[in-house]
Amino acid sequence: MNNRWLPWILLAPALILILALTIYPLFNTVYLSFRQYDMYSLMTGVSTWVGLSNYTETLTDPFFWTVTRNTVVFGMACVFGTMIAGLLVALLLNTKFKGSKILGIVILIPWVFPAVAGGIVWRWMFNDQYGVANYLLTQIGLTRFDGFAWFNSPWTAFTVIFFMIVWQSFPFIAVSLLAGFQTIPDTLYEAAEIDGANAWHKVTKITLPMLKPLLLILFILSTIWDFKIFDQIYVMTEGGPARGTYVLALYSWSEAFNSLNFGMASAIAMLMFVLLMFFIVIYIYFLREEKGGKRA
Amino acid sequence: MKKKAGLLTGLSLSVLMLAACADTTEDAGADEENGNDAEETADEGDADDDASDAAGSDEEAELRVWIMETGSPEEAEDYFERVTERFNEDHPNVSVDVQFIPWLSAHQTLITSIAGGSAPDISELGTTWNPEFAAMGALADMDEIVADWGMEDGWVEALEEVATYDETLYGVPWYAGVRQLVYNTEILEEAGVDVPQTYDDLWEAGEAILANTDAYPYPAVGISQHFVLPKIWHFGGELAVQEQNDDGETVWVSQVNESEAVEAVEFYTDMYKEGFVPDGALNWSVLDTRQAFAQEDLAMTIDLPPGINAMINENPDIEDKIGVAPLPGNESNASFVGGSNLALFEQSQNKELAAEYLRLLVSDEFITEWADFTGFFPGTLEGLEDPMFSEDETLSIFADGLVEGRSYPASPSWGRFEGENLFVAPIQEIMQGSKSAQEAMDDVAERMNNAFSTE
Repeated sequence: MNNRWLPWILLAPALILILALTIYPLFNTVYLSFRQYDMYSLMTGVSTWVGLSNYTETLTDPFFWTVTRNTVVFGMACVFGTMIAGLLVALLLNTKFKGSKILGIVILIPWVFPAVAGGIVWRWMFNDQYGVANYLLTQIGLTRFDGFAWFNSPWTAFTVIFFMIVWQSFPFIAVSLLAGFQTIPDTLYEAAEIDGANAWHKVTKITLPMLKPLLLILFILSTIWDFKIFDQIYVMTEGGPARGTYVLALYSWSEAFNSLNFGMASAIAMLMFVLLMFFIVIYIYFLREEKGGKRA
Repeated sequence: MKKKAGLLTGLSLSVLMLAACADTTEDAGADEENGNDAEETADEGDADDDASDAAGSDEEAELRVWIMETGSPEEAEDYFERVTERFNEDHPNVSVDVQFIPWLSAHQTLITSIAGGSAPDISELGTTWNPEFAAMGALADMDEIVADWGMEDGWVEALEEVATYDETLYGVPWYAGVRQLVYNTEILEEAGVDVPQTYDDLWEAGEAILANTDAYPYPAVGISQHFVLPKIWHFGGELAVQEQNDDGETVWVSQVNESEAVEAVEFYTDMYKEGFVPDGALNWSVLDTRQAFAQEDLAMTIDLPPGINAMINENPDIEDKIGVAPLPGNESNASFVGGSNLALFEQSQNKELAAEYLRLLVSDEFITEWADFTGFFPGTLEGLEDPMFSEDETLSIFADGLVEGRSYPASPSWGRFEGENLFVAPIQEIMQGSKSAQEAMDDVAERMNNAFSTE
C-alpha cells in the first residue's frame, strides 16, 4: 500500500506545478477559441461567445491553408534533414578515430546556441550585400550569387532557415543515437561479420532495427519542435517577404499580438494542436505495431 | 497571511486616498513651502509625520515610467536622473523607475502589460498608437489635468490631433519629427542633376544617377510605410477620410485603392523594378537604407535629423556632403509628422503624482533639452520658438516640414495596421510582380475598412 502511493507522493509537487502551468493555459486557449476576444476584451475582460465562427473563418481563409502547407512541408523537411544529418554524424562518431571524443563535444555547440542569436548570425551570413555566404559562393566562381537576395523569395528564404534549423537541431539527435549505439551488443556485429555482412548491412539490418523505438521517439520530438518553430523565422524574416515564410506558430502569434484577435489566434493554435496530434498518432501507431508484432 | 496582506493594501490605499484628497485642496504657494519642509525633515532625518503633512509631498510611492530607447542610453539616463531629482524636491519619498524599451517591441510590450494589469504609470507612445490605446480605455483622461496646468493650448497641432479621441485628450505631445529628402551632394553633382522637386524630376534624376555613377539613386525599399504612404498625398490622394454612414455615424473609409493612391504606389514600386535600389531592398528597412546611404551606395534617402546623425556616426566622411531639401511632390509635398506623446495609464494607482512628473517632462525647463538630445522638435509651441531650432539652417528646413506636415488618420485601428505590417506585404507583392498595384491596394483597402467597421 505504502509502496504503491509513495512514488505519487514524491512526484506530486512537480506534477501539480506542471499541470498548473500547462493545463490552465491549454483550457484557456480552448475557451478563447470560441470567443470574440479583442483589444476591448483585453481592457474590460468582457468577450462574446461566437461558437465555431473563429474556426469557420480560419478554415475558409485560403491564407490559412497556405500557412498550413508551409508548416507541414517545411516542418517535415526539417525533421528528415535533422534525422539524416544526426544519424550520419552519429555513425561517424561511432567509428572510433583519433579526436572523436573532442569532435563529439564540439558538435554540441550549435545545439547550445540560443535560437535568437543564431537567427541573427545566419541572417547576417546571408545578407545580400555584406553577407559571407554570397562572398564565398562568388569566390568559388558562382558569380550569380553576387548580391543574391536570399530573402526575396519564400523558396530561398525557407532554404536558409532550413539549414539553420538542421544545424541547430542535429546535435541532439546525433548524441541520442550515439548513446543508442552503445546499447547494441558487439556480439551481434561479430556474428554478422562471420556471415559476411558489410558495413551497409550492419547499419540497415542491425543498428537501425535495434534502435527503432529510439528513432520513433526522436522523430516525435523533432516533429513537435519543427512544427512550432517560431523564433528563428521571426528573427530571420519576420514571416516575409510578403508573408511568404509564415508558419502556423508565427501566424497565431501575429493574430494575437499584432492584430489583437486573441480568439482567432487561439483557434489557429488549436488547429495547429490537432495537426500535430494527427502526426504523432501516426508515429505512435507505428510504435504500437512494433509491440504488436512481437505478440503475433 | 492573505488577510494580513489585504489589510495592509487597504491601509496603504486609504493613506494614499487621504493624501490625494489633501493634494487637491492645495494651492501652489503651499507647494513651495512644502519643498522647504521636505528639506528640513530630511535634514532632521525623521519622517514620522507623513500623514499630517497636508501636501502629500512626503507620500511614499513608486512611479514606473517607460521611455523608448534612444541612440545614446547614458545621456538619456542622465537626463531622467535630473528630471527625477527635480521631482524629488517636491516629492522626496517617491521613487521613479524609468525603463527604456526598444521601439520595435514597444507596441507589443505595452499591449501585454495592459492585458496583464501591469501597465506603467506613464509611457511614451508612438503618436499613431495614441488613438488605439485611448479607444481601448487604457489611458487616463488628460483634459482636467492639462487645464490645471493652464496648458490647454500651445501644443503642436498634428500631435494634439492624434492624442484626442472622442473629443477628449488622452495624451500630451512630447516631441515631433518629420522626414525630409536627404541627399549626397557629391553623387548628385557627379550625375549632373539638381535636387528633384517633382516625381518626374525624381525619375529623370534616378536614371541619370544609375547611368553616370556607381550609386543607387533612391530607397524604394520593401519595408517602410513612411516612405510609401506620404507619396499617396503627393499624388493627390488620401489614406482614409471620415464619412457619414447610413446610421448617421461618422466612420473612416479607406482611400488607398483610389486612382491617385494606386498611381503613387505604382510609381514607388516601379522605382524598385527599375533598379533604383538593389534586388535585396525588397527586405530593406529604414536601418538598411541608412547603412547604404552612409556607405555612399545611395544618392538620396528620406530621413529625420536623428537619422542623419546616425549616418554621420557610421561614416564621418559624409558629413560635408549631406544636403537636405523638402520632399518632391506633385499635388503636395507634405511629409508625415510623427513623434511621441506621453500618456498616463488608467491602471495607474498614483495618477496625481504621475501627472506631476509628466508636467515636468513637458515643461520648458526640460522639453527642449530632450527634443534637442533626440534630434526632434518639442511638442509645445513655446518649445519650438527656441532659437536652437529656428536659427539652424538644416533644422529650419525640417521645422518648415513640421508646419506643412500631416499625420496619418487618427483612427484607433491605425496602430494595429502598423503592428500587422499591413502596408509592407502588399508593397512587396507588387515588387515581386505577384500582384498589380490595383489588386494589392484593393486588398489593403478591404482590410482597412474591415477594421474601421469594428470601431
